[in-house]
Amino acid sequence: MQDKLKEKFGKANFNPESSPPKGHRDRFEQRLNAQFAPKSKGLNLHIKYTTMRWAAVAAVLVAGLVFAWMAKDNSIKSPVEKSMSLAAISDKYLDVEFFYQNQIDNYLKAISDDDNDLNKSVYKEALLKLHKLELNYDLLEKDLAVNPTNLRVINAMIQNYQIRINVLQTLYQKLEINETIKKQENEKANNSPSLPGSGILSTYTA
Amino acid sequence: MKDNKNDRVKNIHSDLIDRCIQNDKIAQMKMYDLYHRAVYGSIIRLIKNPVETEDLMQETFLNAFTNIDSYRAEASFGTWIKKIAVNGALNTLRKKSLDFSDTPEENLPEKESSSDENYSRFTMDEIMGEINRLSEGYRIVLNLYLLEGFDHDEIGEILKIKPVTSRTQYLRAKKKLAQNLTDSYYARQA
Repeated sequence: MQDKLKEKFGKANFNPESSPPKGHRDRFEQRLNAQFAPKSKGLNLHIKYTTMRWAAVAAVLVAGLVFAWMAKDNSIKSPVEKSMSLAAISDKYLDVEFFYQNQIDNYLKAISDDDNDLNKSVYKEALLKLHKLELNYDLLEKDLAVNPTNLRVINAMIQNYQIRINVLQTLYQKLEINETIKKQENEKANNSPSLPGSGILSTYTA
Repeated sequence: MKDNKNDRVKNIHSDLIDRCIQNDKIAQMKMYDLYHRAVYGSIIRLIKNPVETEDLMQETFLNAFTNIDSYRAEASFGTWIKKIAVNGALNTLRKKSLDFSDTPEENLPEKESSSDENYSRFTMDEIMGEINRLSEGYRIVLNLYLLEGFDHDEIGEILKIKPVTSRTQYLRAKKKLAQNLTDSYYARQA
């Protein structure tokens, strides 16, 4: 049986081609470069690989030493500027990040001035929570670098800031309460020689 | 798939293909420049979404360059890469739950109509317009058979259905197309 439709397509030699959206060539070239890095073969490849491996080991060691030195120096306060920060999205998010970061800095400053021994366990517990939140924030920054328009990542980053501020706020309040308790205890201790029965009240009641 | 390109075409690009095997980026980009429109055309007729199509087109070329060692010059490079493109597009459609499974036997035997529509009164644009308005299953079979040049054995292999199912689907799609074309024709006349 004759297929008239097939015949029509055959006769018309119909082979429509379409054009991809503008910029497709550059986008493809980028992907091509990423996938097909130049190849080296044999000994050269081995040397390159070995060199790269030692370079990577050296880089990790240097990074570790720098990190340890900085940690000892107590100069690491926040996890920002890795991957992509909120501020990099737009001016609006720059303001948001500045606002939260500023609050965190103020709390950290206020808390670090307090060296009350009684607060050590409270302090330790809060710092552990903060450390976990900072690690989580680092991961979110990496996610954001991959998906800069993903609102879920952006919201998670803002929420992370808010939780960190809550942790610091709670810590600050607990430290204040402990400080008040300590002050009261000190006052009691200072006043103890006149108590009980030896003060003004006892004079009147006597 | 019937290869419309002749050996001359194969030989023209054999040098570029050899260079692509060596991961020569300039040769790879030249092959992209030569074939991207054909590959894009094959995919967008199945997928319809330009963004997804561009992504799939790029995947197709990267896939082809990665596996170019397996390319045998029995078919032209164009035929080979279009087959990769079509397979990629159909896999994407499968992920969207498009079912190409075999038609139940009782619905099967549908003989070619003795009064095949006279298509000469329609332009190619009109026919393509109506094809694009058909349901996905019909549209895909018509595209693969009429435009990509696959036969029913090959369509069966690609869609993982029996060749007879491909043929039946094609006949049904053609019948539906003819009916829609006629309706549109009379609507225009009215």
